[in-house]
Amino acid sequence: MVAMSTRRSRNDIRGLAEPDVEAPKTARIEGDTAVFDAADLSPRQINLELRRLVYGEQIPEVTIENPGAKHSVAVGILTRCRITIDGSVGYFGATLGDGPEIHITGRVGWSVAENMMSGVTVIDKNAGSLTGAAMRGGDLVIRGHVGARTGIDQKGGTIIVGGNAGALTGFMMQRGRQIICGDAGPGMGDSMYDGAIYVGGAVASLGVDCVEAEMTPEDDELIDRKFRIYGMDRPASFRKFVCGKKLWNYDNLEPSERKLVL
Amino acid sequence: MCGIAGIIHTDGPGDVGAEMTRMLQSMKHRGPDSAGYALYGEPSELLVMRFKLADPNETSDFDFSERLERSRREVESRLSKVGATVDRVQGESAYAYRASFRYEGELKPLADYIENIPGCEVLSLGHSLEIVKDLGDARTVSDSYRLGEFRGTHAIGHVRMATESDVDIAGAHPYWAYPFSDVAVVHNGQLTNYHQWRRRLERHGHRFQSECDSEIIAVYLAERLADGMSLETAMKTSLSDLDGVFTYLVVTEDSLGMAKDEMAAKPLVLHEGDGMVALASEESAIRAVLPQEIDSYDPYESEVLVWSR
Amino acid sequence: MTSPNASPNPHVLGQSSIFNPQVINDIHTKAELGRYRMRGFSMFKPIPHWDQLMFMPGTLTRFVIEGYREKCDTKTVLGARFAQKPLELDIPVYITGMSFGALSLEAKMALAKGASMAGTATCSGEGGMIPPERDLSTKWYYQVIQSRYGFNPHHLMLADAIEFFIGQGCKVGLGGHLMGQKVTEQVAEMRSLPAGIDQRSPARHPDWLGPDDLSLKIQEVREATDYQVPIQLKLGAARVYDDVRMAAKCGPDIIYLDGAEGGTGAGPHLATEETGIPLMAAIPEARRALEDVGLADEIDLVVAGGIRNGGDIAKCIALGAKAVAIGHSSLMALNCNKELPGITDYEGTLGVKAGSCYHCHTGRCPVGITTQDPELRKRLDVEQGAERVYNFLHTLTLEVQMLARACGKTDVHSLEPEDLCALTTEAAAMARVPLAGTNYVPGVTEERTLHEIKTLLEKHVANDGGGSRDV
Repeated sequence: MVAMSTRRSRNDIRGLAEPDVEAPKTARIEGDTAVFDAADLSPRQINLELRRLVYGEQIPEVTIENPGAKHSVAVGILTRCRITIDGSVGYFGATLGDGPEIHITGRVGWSVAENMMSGVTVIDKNAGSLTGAAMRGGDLVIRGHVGARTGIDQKGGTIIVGGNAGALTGFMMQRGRQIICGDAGPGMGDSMYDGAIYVGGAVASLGVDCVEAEMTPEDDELIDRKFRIYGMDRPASFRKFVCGKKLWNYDNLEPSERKLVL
Repeated sequence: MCGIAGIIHTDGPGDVGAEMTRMLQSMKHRGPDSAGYALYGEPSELLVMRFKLADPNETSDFDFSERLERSRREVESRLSKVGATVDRVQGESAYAYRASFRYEGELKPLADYIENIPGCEVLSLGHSLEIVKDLGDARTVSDSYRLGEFRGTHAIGHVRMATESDVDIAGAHPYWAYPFSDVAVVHNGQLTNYHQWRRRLERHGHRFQSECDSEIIAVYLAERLADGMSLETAMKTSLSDLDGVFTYLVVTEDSLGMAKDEMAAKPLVLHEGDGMVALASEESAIRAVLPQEIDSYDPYESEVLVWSR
Repeated sequence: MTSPNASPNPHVLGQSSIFNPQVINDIHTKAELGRYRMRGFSMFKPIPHWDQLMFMPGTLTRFVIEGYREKCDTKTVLGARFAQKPLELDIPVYITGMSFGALSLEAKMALAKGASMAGTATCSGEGGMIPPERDLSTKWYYQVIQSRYGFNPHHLMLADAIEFFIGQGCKVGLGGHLMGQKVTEQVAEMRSLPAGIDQRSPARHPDWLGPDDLSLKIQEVREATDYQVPIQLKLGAARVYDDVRMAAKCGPDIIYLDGAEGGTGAGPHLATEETGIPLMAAIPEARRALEDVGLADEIDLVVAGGIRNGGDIAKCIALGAKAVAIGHSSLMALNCNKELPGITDYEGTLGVKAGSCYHCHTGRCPVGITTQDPELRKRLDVEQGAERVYNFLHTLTLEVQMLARACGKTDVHSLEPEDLCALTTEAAAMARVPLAGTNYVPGVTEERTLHEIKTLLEKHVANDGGGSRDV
């Protein structure tokens, strides 16, 4: 048996690992709601407190004050609950979730709601790059602008952007939909496999294998419904972009690569 | 690996030393090995030269201070020899110094002559630019160089995690655009045609103080500025000339600029307020100087922006 | 396709070794195909390999441990740096990540069961978690891979260790492949893709683009999993010294290096041949990097790539690996490249003899391992396969112990570089061990000598009071 306590180093060079921390237990709990101030808390303390409230105390509604643009806040919440983050968060905010409704009143850094499975995340201001990366379900709403590679590798769900989007929006997108009210940057929909991107403004350029498609009444109906839910102003018209399917398969196969059965 | 930050006051000088320290310290996790500043004070008729005579990693044996003192006197004597009127030379740390002097001649021969002194490296030279960089986090560097007192109009800064080169000052940003007055750069990312550009600029007669790709950007821009190109145009040409992924900040005597390459893979958050513009790799740095509710956004791909004081 | 003539005709002048018949065929094929050629398997061209290293066991200078019986520990603990529950393996070998999709369900299950029987781990690979594999694994790595196919935070919570896949040895800098022949409805659904597409996975992660972001990503996953399990970064071996320094500073518990010899289920032939460095060269570089950033005792090193037997594993451990992962050789334990009389016909179906098959990418694996074809899959029996995987892992362990005992070790982790010598100067230079019978380590010896000369010279000058004399 190797003694592990002797070789355990408790600090990483960057100061990002905090293994030995306990929940601060500073929240004010009133009935079904709880509030806590994150100004002096580290991401680990914020998450421990949040989990204590959501899982331990079974409180369905939690508000986090003064998040101070910290990273990895409210990650991995796998239950239905309502979380309000009053201010801005940094990278990896509200990620790896399944079920929660998260409202961020400020802006967010990179990779917000990354790999979200279900639930709703609403951001009142702008978002950084890689917004909704590899997202699989639920609704992600950014009322402001987003950076580059929004919905990269998206596998499901809906991303709604009130403002503009940067380069390579929907890069390698696989499923789901994106609704961009403003303009989209160059290389939109590059190498997308499937799914749909709706754009209200101008598109700087389309990426490889992204093509325009006809808007159907079902598309309009879906967009109307989403905008009603989130109380957003709908641009008069949208254009729809989908995969051209030219990159789906190699043009040629060697004799041994031909399909046998299937 | 690093964090970068910039701040410019468009309505008169502010406490840029203290502000930059707070910005950099909030991004310590992006680079705890060293911190560097390029600060712009009130423009002066005097030239200010920041230089160091040894590296913090050097072992200070018994004749260390004697050798430094000898070198310091040699700097003063060489300044006099080239016709500069020395105002003062003061020690800033165990091995770093600040000299102010009057001088009308060309900067390149002067810098070369001074750097010829063994162990000497000129960190910056200009009428308002002062570069300070050392090992440790921003708070440590600020405390030992008394940067909290520094008032000025604009500044850029950098926190570094040493990876491809060692933990030393030569690898620390910002980079002064040797031998061009008052130009400095901080950079996040990597240039994949660095060696091509280095050889090209060396053929143009430039030399480099480090092995760091970021230094290329400073010299590249300064060369174009010296050719009469505007800062904005020079930065735009850099977007197609430099390969790789990068976001960089550049400062000149009166301006602060940012550029982001077309891949947009390196972060930058920007806040443009009344009388002040602040930019940083992470929003937490902007929050460190502007805790109130503000608007900020990520500049887009291929974006070049310049602000003047 | 016919090969150009290579007859023993005395009037034939000769044949180009550069444009040999294989090269000419390759050009003909590419001219038809219009794309790079795909294949599975490991490296084709010869590179310096483990065969060029030898152990120097104890004779009189060292007390040897009874080779076949005395105690020689194999327990291997990975990731004790920050994880509340480090990964504890009974043996220093485990089965690396290979996707469901590249592999059949039966192959994944047999590997999982065989690994569990041997007291070691297996890894999900790219395509997401398949519940039968998780059920059969007592120790299970969950991969966070570029494509995030099927990635699910609920599955993340079931992991005993988490591997960030950043690159692989056989095609460093490139993403994975799965040809359409293998993208069945089930595989496609798990990956949220259209069925039948030729899937080329991304080379970069979707939610972080550089080491600064990676350190925050690691923080995110630690927060999500409450610091319970180790975080491992898997890198393809290329610019090892710089990459490992950078990786170490990002804060992982374990770093996994994959040598250029590593295999693949599908990749461009050219990438497999032309990227990366041999594992033998990578391990000393990685050790040097970890020592230089002061984390040699904190971060564990796992290595993989072209491992065939216990000798290879013992040599990896001696050079500084804590554990060794195997991929392709575990598939061979499942019968890869084995003609099964009355069942398989390698030559008839794939045009190559068993033993020369590299057709994993076609999905037509005659022994049911790298296929999704229901008929071919029947050729792999999970129970029997698991038994063979267990036997192979057990044998590897016995072989490692045998060599360790001969070198006088009661724990396989006591093996050290000084137990090795090299048969060629190339191997000596790469592995940084002396050429057999000498104390010459190319590069290292020269550097040491130069340093000695420099020190002597400095002393001489100092004694001389500043060098009044010529030196």
